Amino acid sequence: MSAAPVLVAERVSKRFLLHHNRAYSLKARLLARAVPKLRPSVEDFWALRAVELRIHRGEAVGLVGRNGSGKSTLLKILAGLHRPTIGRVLVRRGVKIGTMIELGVGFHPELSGRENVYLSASVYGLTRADVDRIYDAVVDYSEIGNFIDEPIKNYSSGMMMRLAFALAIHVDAEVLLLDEIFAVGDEAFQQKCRATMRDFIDKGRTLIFVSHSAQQVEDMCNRVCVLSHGHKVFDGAVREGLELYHQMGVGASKGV
Amino acid sequence: MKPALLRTGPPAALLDGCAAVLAVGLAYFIRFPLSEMMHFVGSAVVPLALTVVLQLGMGLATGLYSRRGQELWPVRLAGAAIAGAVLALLATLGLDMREGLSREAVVTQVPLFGFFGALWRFWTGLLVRQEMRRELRDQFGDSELVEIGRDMSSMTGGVLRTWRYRHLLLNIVTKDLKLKYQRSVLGFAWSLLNPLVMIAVYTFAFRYVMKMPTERFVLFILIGILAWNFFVGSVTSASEAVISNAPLQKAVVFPRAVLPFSTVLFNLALYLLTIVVFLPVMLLAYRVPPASRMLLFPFFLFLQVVFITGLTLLLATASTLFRDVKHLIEVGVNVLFWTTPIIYEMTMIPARFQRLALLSPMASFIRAYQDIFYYGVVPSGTVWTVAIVYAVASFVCGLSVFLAYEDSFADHL
Repeated sequence: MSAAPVLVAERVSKRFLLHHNRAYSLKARLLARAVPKLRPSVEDFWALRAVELRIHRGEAVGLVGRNGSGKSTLLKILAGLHRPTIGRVLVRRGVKIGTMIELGVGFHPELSGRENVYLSASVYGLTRADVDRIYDAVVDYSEIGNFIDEPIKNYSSGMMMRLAFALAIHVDAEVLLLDEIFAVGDEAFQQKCRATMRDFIDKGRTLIFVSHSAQQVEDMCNRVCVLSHGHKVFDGAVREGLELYHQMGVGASKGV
Repeated sequence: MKPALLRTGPPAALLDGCAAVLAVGLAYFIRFPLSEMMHFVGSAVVPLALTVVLQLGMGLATGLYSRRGQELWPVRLAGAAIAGAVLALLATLGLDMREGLSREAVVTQVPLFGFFGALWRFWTGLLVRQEMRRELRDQFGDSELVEIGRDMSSMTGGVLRTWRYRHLLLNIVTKDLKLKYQRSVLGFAWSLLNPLVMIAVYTFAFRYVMKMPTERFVLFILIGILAWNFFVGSVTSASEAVISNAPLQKAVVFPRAVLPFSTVLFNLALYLLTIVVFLPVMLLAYRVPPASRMLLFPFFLFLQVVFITGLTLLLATASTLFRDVKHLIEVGVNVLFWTTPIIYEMTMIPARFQRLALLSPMASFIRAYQDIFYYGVVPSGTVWTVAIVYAVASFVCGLSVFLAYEDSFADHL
């Protein structure tokens, strides 16, 4: 493991404004300026507060926490999908970050599997030549077989997910950000996914993984961060982290 | 921290000053023929100086206002428009002193100056905003690590990133074209039917009912309507360009500018398909001989594409931030259709408004096509100027606005 980190979050905070009767339209905005009664009331909601995170090559970090603790927001900020309100996210120069936050969002039902692979791959920034190179591997991995030339709308949801996962894993990113997507396909395919992921980590790549399943985190990760109400409350060994997470869950449900 | 959108330091003031000089120059350039530009240089010194002073004053005032941390855009735009209009009055006084003040000079100049004043202030505001962001980021300097989204909101960075995703752009356009024609019996013929029907109806109404004197009427409106359809198609789908791809944007990072670019390219493809079919047929039917001036067509088409791209970027941003911009676009497009010389000739407009009519967004491009194919002349200098200025201004504004707000789209979807 090299000393220099690949991905760094420096005191990342994210504020969402909860607008009550929000002015989505220009008209409403202008009206609200003139009529005080219509002025939207805004409530701050800090999804993340000053989160520090240094992630090194070869680490598999599990982000755990209860619902609404900010782990998905953190993942999206690390991916660059949201801009932090305060703080910043740094990436090692030239490192490619892959995301598997929702699978198959770029797919179009009317197009065939093949066309969808090419289209979605270009969303990830791959060129035609890149896709030509990985295409066979993607189709093999997804176990779709001859259906690849059928329109996606005729696929079962499992087939679609398998194809999407196969593509995302072949994009060849050095850092992969995952959000709860291990419910792909049947038991056998899930086994295969996990094997691929472990392989991915063994190759010295980096994985950041949001999950509610302690089992999966224990399987895959070598480091755990626990988030609670937007604060990072724990960062370290898997076992202790999961224990804390477990206690938090119990404590909270007792408190109710 | 909310960045103050305008500062009052010397560099910002200089920027404003330059902008003011350019704005006034541009406004004059369009208002008067080329031969009178020298006249302008001579007699416009006083109004120009006043302009600079006034614009600087505006900059100072808005700068002070921004200290209070207010949202500034409306104030700044309104202020600049008012300043521009006042300047127009002063400038008209200065220029027309010899011949006496003419009403039409005031009528045409006031909106012109207002428009360009607002445009420039908007643009300089964006420049300052970008510069401040860069400064904020440069406070932390790492060599090994780069901030995510660092190249965002700079023009070259934005263009480069989009260029790297050109495969995505092409894939989206081919997908849209394929889906449009897939499983429809008439397929491509549908795209020809719409302009055909429009032309037939307008010919009936204007040529036969209202007895328009225009010769070769079908050829005349064909040129305008095809180019207009390209414009309308792009501008109306601009409002959906970003919003309709919301799920994708919540899951994958890619340059969002690809989306509006793809709507423009898609509409361009449709336009080219129709023009390739209709134009040669019409030229043959009306026995218009091929001429070297027709080689200018691709050039003006390019300008039109650049112009429409800028506008699409701007409208895509606006309609993502405000959901009712869509309706404004629909109304605006209807108004603009009748203020653009498409089914009437430019020469039918009262003389004093002809130049103003050329400022209707699509007018210069459509006029250029009409010159090339219908009137059989090379477009005049004014047409060239307006077309080029519109294309550049729209693209620069559109792209910088889009890039400035691109990273906040995720919070608005």
